[in-house]
Amino acid sequence: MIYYLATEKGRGAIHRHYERYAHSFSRIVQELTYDEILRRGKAPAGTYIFADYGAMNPVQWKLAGQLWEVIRQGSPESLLINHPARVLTRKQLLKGLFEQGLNRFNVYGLDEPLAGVRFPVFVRTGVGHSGALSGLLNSLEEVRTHADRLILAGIDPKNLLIVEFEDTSDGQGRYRKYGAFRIGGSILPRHLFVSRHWEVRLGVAEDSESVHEEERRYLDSEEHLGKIMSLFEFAGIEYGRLDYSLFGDSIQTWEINDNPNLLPERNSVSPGAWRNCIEFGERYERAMRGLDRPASGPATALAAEGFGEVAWAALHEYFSGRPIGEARG
Amino acid sequence: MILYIATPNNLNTIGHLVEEWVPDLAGLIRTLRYDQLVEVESLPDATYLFADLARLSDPAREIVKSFADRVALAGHRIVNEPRVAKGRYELLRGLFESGRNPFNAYRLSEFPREVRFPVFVRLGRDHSTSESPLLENRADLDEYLVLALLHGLDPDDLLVIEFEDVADERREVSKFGAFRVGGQVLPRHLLRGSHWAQRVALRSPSFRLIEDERAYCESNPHQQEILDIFNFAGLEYGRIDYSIKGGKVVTWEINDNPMPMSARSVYTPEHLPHQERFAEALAAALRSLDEGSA
Repeated sequence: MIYYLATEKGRGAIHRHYERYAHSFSRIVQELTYDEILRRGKAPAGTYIFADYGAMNPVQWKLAGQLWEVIRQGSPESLLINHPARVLTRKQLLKGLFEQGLNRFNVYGLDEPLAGVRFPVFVRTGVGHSGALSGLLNSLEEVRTHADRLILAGIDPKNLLIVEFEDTSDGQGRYRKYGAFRIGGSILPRHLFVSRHWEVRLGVAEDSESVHEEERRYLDSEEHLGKIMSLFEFAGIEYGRLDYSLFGDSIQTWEINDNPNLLPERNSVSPGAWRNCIEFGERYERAMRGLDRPASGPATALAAEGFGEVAWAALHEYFSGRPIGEARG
Repeated sequence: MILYIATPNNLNTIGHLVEEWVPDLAGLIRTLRYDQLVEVESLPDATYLFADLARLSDPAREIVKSFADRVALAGHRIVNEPRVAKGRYELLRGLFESGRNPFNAYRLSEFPREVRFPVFVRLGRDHSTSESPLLENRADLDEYLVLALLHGLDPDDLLVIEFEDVADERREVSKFGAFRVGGQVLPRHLLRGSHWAQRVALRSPSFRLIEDERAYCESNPHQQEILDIFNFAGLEYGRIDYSIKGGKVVTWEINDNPMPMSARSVYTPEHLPHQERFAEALAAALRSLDEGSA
């Protein structure tokens, strides 16, 4: 059995999939929230995908790390995926890729000096996967106004990122965004969205036979697989979806979603797009079955009170002002 | 005109009041979301009622304070001054330290520390019911917090609050609610039940409870003490939720964005006259709040 762990906010990616399309899949994958498994009091031997760090605050992250450690010690034969001490936050990932020369654009927190920012930029959050929260902004004043608006709307300024815009459009002004899953040792291309809008999403993407054909070729292409795997390695993520575009031959990483949705609702996409979804769905399930470990060995006992010391230590680190991402592991 | 400012998800607390009870107020009150403040270039001539301050994060409060500077400089009336109003934690801590409340409240950033058990845990920026059951000791508190934090509750927002037993000899808890609108205190409700965190109005209150509530609202017995507590909190508009112990007010919270009226259909026929009276009194108080701003 594979146990897929997500946060309360992020729960549902797996559950929706087997509710909608793959009922038998529920026999090999069970989705639980992190607090649910702790409440259960035991972790059977199996495969554990620690998903959804992208939605966690540093204290949650630290507690997930403790859960990892307890299961690892209690059940050495279990396969644990996405090590909490290796996974990078979105900001760490994008800054790291820029510093390595792999991404052409930089990102900044609101608390960083912004004098060197290359405009235009847009604002998004470092947690969650809601995409851009602003249009393209051309000055620090515009950034401050938008940031204030978001803070007043309830977004924690610690989570706001300023992202330099990178123009990856082709000669016809069309933007392409690719998505590829990593599932353990496999890379599975998932989708290609094409749009004339710089923020390429499913809702604004072109829906034509030529795009579906291009997407189909992408699903079968092995061209980027090696580079994609090395980007996942850089991020410390063994299960997730890399969203990227190409600048020439160079992959420009937008994010890695470590709790990605799988398939859309059948009626929300055209038949051509759905054919590609089905193809991906079959490959996805095959790859997941490859991660499944038969239960062997006793279950690991879990007790919330045993996490108290770690919780207080994590809170102490958090309140002592260490930046997000350093209170992990 | 009263410009009623609140957070995006809680902008319509006065909706039933205006739509179902006192439609005349529609011409008096306009609502504005806090995130819309960044778009306000010229300040309309109005009374600026900053509701829902308790839900703002500290950085958001700083932005609102700057806006309040502009409002004050322009000479407009401010109700619930953002530069002085206390949040839930500051209020409960201040009331304890000044001897007005017998129980203390803690942020997680203050732990580990000696607290008086039992305690309960709730969110500092939310007015919904208390988050946890009563926790009798440190082990129970730790276990609850681990699960709550893993669940994703914001560590910046969690408060640990000492339980204060205010039950009477029948083991019933009475909780009063009273509005302050400017200089007036308007008693709103009396809830009674056996649960320690009695918060929800009974759908079918007993005759005795309705009578007790009527007597409470007519006599307004804690008026001066309530005004003092609102002044201490720096709030001119809101609803205080409290109980009485040893003849003194014990403050649970001040909700600075309360829902004054529910839909008419919620109330039983015998409870309606009281609701009508309160709605009219509240409307009159709001009108007088705005006098002089136009």
